[in-house]
Amino acid sequence: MVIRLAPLVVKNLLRNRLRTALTVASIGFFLFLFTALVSVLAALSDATRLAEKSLNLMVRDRYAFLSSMLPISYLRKVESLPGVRGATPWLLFLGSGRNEGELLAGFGCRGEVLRDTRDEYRAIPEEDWRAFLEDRSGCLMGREPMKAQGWKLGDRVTVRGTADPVDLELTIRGVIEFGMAADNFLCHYDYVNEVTGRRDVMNFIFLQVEDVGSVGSVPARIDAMFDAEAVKTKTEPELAFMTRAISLGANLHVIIYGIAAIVIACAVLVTANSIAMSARERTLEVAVMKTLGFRPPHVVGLVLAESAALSLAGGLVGCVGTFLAVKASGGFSIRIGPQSFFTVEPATVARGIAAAVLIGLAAGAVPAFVQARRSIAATLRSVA
Amino acid sequence: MTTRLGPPIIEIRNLHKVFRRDEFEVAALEDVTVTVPEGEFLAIMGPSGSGKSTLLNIIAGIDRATSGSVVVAGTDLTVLDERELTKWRGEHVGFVFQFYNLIPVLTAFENVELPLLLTRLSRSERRKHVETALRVVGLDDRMNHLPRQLSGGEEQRVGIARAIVVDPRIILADEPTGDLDQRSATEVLALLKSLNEDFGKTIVMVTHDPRAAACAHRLRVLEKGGMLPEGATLPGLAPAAG
Repeated sequence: MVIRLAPLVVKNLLRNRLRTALTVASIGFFLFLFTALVSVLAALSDATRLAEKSLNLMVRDRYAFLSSMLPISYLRKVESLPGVRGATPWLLFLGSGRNEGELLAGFGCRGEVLRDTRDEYRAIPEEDWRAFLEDRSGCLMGREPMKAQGWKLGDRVTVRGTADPVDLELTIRGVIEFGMAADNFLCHYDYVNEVTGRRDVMNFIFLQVEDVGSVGSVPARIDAMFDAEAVKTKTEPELAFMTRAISLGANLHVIIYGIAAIVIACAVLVTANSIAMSARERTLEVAVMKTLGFRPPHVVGLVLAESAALSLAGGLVGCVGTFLAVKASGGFSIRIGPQSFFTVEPATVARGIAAAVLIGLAAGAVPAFVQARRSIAATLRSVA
Repeated sequence: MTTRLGPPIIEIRNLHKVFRRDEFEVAALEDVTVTVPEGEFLAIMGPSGSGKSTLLNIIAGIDRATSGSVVVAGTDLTVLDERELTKWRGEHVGFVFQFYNLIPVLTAFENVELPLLLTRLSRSERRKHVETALRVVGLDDRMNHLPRQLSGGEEQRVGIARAIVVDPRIILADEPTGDLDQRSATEVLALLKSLNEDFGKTIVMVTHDPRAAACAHRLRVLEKGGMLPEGATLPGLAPAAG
């Protein structure tokens, strides 16, 4: 029966082509948002999953995040703990380069500790690493600021401080080609500490433990070590830390789920409005079809099929469009923690398309049942 | 008339129909009794609001009697539920509307095929039935035309083809010539007459048009919801000599 009536469903959808096109475009836009949001959630979940396997940890002020400030003396204590392979201070320096409008974020650190902690650092050529480690004012510059500022390897550049009224004079010794650090730069902690007035503080400690077993025990030992100190610490996996940096303490999952739910609700309302208008315009035709022998389930099926087809078309436009667009561009440029680039997985597209069909069915339900229940005689009388 | 009349196919006794409008009740039909033998062409006339269409709807099973007995094609319609009524209607009754009521996005062929989609007929069987129905109404050369590409008379003939495609015993026509020019009306009436005489269809036709009524074997007149006695008429409603 559904197949027999399929041509009628298609022809009904094409009656008012402008309305159909606008509705498909609206649903496509909503499904684009939905697919993107689900992809963000998937990336966050991946980050959490990967965090459990990572040997990298971050230490911060237990009661502060963005304003976390730890004494440098903590670093030596952390380094000396059994199970810790290496630790580096992490001191944020905010400034601007040649283009004053563009904010540059850099971190003062100890490069030798970082070198083997992430793929993007391992990808930097050996001679560049050596040059960076041997040059006190050397830096590893991210690919993005290199492009934005028009810099090249070996350039001597000035980063004018915005938070601190001092400038960093840096020589670009290497380029970070990918990863989150590709947006920033790394330089030597001692140099930044000196230029900024030897306050001997750091924002965070980045450390790597020796094995997965230590990931569970070291954080508790570090935090216990500073429990009696004025500045207490919170030690957590690096990826969890990065995810928190994105969410800024809020429950990002809940927020994204909330936005996704609103997006879906909007899609349902848009589709329902379009289907309701379309069904209302055909009230007489439905009455005629019922006169010819079509029963309420046939009418419900027709309206729901029309609604689902409309929504599915929008879903295909939105989800597949997102998938292809992201694939063509090589990945989202949004950075979620260490997940610098993430893609729209086929499973996410399938989820979006399934959501589109459900949107259609939900949107068509009320108009379908209204049409199915409407009295034939009353409808015929109303147009006589 | 060459048609041989059979036993009663429509038997209505003491039919009452009351519409509720908010707290008011409006009697549309009062104590209507009428019998139609199989093979008859009955015309029902009456002023606007006299209950003609309501009577036709009740015979078709698309409206329900408030009280009384309605037996059509051997089935007591008052005891059927909606599902049974719809199934019964699809098998026994063809309905012709004043304004044709074709689906504008479907071709003449597809419009006529619509009732057959509910049957178990194969695609080729459906095609055969539709082509036959369209041939009967003289439109087998217009089957791929959309309603907007047809004249009013042609649209009504497609409507009649749609009504007869399931080969019903009864055809109910609600002012089938009411929206047509004289020439088209004549063609449609000739077609209905042919369906009655050549194919033995029982036809009940509601009309305002005395010339249309003249095509029927018999005329009954409704006034203010009541059926006038056999042979009685109202000024201006007498059928034209035919």
